[in-house]
Amino acid sequence: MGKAIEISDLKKSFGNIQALRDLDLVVEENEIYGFLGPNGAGKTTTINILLDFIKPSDGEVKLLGHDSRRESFEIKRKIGFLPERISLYDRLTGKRQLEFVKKTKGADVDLDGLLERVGLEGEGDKKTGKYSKGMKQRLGLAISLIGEPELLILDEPTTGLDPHGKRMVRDIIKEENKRGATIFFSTHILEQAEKISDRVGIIRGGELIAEGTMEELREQVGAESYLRIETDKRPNIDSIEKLEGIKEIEVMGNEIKVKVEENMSFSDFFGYLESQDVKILGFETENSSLEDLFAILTRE
Amino acid sequence: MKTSKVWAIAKKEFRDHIRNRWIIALTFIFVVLTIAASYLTGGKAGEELFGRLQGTVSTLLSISSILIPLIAIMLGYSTISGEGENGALPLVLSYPITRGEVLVGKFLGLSLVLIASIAFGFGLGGIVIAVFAGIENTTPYMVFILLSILLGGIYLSLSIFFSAVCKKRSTSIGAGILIFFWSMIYGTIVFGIYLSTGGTLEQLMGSESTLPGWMWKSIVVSPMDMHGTSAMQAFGLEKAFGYAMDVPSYLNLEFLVVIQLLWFLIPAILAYFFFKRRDL
Repeated sequence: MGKAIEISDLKKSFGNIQALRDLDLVVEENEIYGFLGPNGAGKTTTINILLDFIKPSDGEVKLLGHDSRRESFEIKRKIGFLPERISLYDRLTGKRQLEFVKKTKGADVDLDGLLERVGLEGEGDKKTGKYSKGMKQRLGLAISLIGEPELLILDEPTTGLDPHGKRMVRDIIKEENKRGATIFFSTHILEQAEKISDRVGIIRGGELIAEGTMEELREQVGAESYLRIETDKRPNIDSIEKLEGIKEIEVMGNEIKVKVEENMSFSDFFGYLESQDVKILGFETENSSLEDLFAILTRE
Repeated sequence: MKTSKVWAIAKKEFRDHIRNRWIIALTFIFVVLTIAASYLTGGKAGEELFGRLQGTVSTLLSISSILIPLIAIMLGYSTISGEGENGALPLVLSYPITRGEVLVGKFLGLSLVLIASIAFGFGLGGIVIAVFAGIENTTPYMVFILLSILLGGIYLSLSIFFSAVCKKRSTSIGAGILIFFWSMIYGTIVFGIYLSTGGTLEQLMGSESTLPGWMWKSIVVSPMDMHGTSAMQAFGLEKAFGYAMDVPSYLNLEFLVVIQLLWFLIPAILAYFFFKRRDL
């Protein structure tokens, strides 16, 4: 399988500020890649370079096998793009603007069907100046879909959308991926990346600091699980700590909170409690939250 | 360069800016003033200040040479800087379209808005003149309209150039205001220099003016003065820098039009090079 995006040793400085330092990143064809990072990490700068809006200071970028600088025209025939802040021509109707894109892309598309797909049915004849923020974002998404692009580059696609809208974006991303498209989207919200990405790359300070599936990322940072157990009496915890895989233990009355290594088998632990004649009334496990993970990864 | 893509941009620009309230307001003022001026100066026989035709033309000229550049600057000043800043232009450039096609399309679309505005103003004004004063000056009037379009084209070209050079919308509007201001006061500057270097008003006002050669030559740096002079010549009248005077023979209509065409083309070409190299 080919590569949809290949970024090697990419550097970009604005004056004294290094926005990107040696960024390396590969997106496989037909993959959903979540480009995750806090605001100001270099996500939009990277996307602007992918689209040849700004010139890199150094490094090489290839999209769908084409050089981003020399063959940007070829690339633009095969991609769809949704910018971070969608800016439309407010004096024109939504449909007119879709028509304009259709013409410049030389695409064949049913605009009413497209409007319906992004939840704007019946709104096409309104000027976009009268659109809400969410509606503009939906129209922007519609624009990016025109021409069945091979690669969709979506910069913070769920910005300004309500939960329904966010789900619609995820559904569309999945549909487009099924059709065969590669999706590269940026977000600063881990939850958004986690829900649909095949792989996630985390950028901080202009560098990719972690990459992989969510499971791989959890392993990389050594994320932990908690086990919460309710018992009928206070167990003797002295020897619990000797059990393998247990890192920390805390007892509050009849409740035990145990920090365990991921994938540890709990049966030893339960067996131990039983041997002490402690009855387990209930238990639950808890992964360290995704937010914690993201915080760990992007900590300065 | 693909015609279909250029047209797509041109159409979009036209549709967008024909609805621009500033343009509508300025065009409205333009229409009202040209009709009023045509009626008052062209329709009223007998009141001959400089001669009836000259009166009409000078009045129309003083209106159009302010409003047309203003409309042109309003159309062009933010077309690259403003749209680059707010993100509309990067979005367009994510489509398979070259920057050259975008720029030519913008020129075309915005020029059409400008032409529509001028045609509206001078068209209605022309009807009033035709009704009250007859149609014997139709040909020079048409030439006058073409010259006005050229004037608008120059300011459109200049404002698009500034829009391509300036990073921000706010600096490009500043540049637009400067170029407009420059054009307005150019005559005053020239005469200030003239009078402070020993020239006298008497020399100006007489029918045989004896302006120094540099003053005449300097007209090529002021599109508005070139426009005024060439418009008067279209009607067979001699007037420059706002005064009636004998214009040297080399400053004929053809020469002035060629220089004005350069004023249109050079900023347009420069705009292309700046736009091509620009980060968005």
